[in-house]
Amino acid sequence: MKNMPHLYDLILNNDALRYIDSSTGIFHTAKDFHESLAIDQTSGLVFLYLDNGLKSIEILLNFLRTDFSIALLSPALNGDYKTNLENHYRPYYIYDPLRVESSDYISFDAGPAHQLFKRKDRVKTEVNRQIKLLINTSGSTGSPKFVKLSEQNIVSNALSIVDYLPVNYADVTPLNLPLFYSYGFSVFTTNSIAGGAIVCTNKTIIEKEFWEEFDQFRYTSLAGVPYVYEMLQRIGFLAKTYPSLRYLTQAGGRMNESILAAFGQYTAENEISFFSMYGQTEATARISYLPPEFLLDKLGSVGKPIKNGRLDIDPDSGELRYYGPNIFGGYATKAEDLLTYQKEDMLLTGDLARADEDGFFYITGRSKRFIKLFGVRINLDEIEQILTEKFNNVRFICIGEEDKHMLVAYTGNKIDEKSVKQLLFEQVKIHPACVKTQLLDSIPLTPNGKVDYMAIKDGILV
Amino acid sequence: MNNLEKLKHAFSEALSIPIDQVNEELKYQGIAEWDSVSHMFLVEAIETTFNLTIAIEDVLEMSSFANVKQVLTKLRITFD
Repeated sequence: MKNMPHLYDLILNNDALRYIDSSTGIFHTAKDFHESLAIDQTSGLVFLYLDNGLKSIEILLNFLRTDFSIALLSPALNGDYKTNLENHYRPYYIYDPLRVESSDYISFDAGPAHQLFKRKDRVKTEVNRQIKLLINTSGSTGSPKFVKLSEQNIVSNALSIVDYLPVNYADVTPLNLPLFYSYGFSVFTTNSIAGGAIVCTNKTIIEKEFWEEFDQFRYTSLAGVPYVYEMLQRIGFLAKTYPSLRYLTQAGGRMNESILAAFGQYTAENEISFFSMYGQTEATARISYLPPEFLLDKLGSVGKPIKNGRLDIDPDSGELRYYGPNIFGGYATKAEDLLTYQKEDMLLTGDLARADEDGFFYITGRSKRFIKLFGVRINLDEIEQILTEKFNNVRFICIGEEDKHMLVAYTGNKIDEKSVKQLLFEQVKIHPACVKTQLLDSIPLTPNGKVDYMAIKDGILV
Repeated sequence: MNNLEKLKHAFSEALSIPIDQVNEELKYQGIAEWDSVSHMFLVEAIETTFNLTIAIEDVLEMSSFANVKQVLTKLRITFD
């Protein structure tokens, strides 16, 4: 593992690789973008607010080549959130297509139409040299929590993925997931290393233009979180055929089994491979996958670990544990956390699991207080805290319901359901239709004095 | 409530925006609140409001407030 190649070199050496601009059809090779921007030869921290356009790719590649540590961020974050984050972390460079100026920063053209911000003072944030990438895991607000990833994390995970996905030089792959999301980033890395054409598009699957691009470029694969597949089903994807399509991938949460079965049936009939996968940002992206031929037989299974990875189950707690070179080097919630990179041998996934007699793993629940709504991970303890800060004299208990809804149970003063929904939408972008509230007389406890979540859940669902 | 008011109400509920922000210029991804997630809530809200089913092709056409009105007009919902 010591001599593992760099991501940038692997990308540069892929002669089949083309990055295509979806709206103009213009393409560039990675070599076209080699040192195409004027960037200082130093190290430190950069903030890249990336959309999925060709320019974002050029910016990303230029920084991947350098010794900078790159924080991937969503351009859609609100302005105050961005400013707070920048004031705290003081990145050396910022790329943000949505802003024309930023205080404490000088705007300059690093390329013909590539505006970057450079910090005015020369105060440099120290970053551990092992940290190559920072991915924010805390959604759109709340305290940002970065996952620290090394070059080795990224390369080892990408190579393990390329080992089982049928990525090849004839592929035409759309970037239809955000790049600042670990799954979307893995689509970028794996296809840049081993794929052919990558179509840079900001169109989403519910827009007509996306399907026009699909026909125009003849996409060979699509990637999606469970919600994407629900939408695909709703917009009639299964009623049509796509001669160019070779495989589909799904990750980012558990998929409803009837939808999974519908896609399993469809893909089997149309000679398309469907890869149902499992992972976490803390494992760079991927932990395990279910080989397509087992999709219907082992429906709902997260499959077996990727190459060079291993899974087992804690005999006492039932928690799924992962071991592999792609385990992250800790979280960063403040600038000082960037001074260290400490990789652990074992990752506690927070998921409860079982394995069947053939060695296939199945997730049965969560031991941590997380839910996923539309592929976004939500920490229920944090939500309770946000609510408690806003409403006085109320005690909140938040519970997930099959990654579809969040129940907000509370005791104390009666509060307006609308105000809870409004707050959660504004602060954490949880859609109001996913939130249910319930006033309780008291909080039920288990015999050993802990909050009895099951009792609350059953009480509300009845 | 007339049909235009009903439609504005459906937008306001599905996208979680004040009703006075619902106007003819509203576009998919034009505001942070109208993203792919809320879009599906919007389709549902419109179906419930007008008690109809929006066909697959039409869902892909609903990329702005004006386009939604066009789709509904085709389905014989009138806006005067």
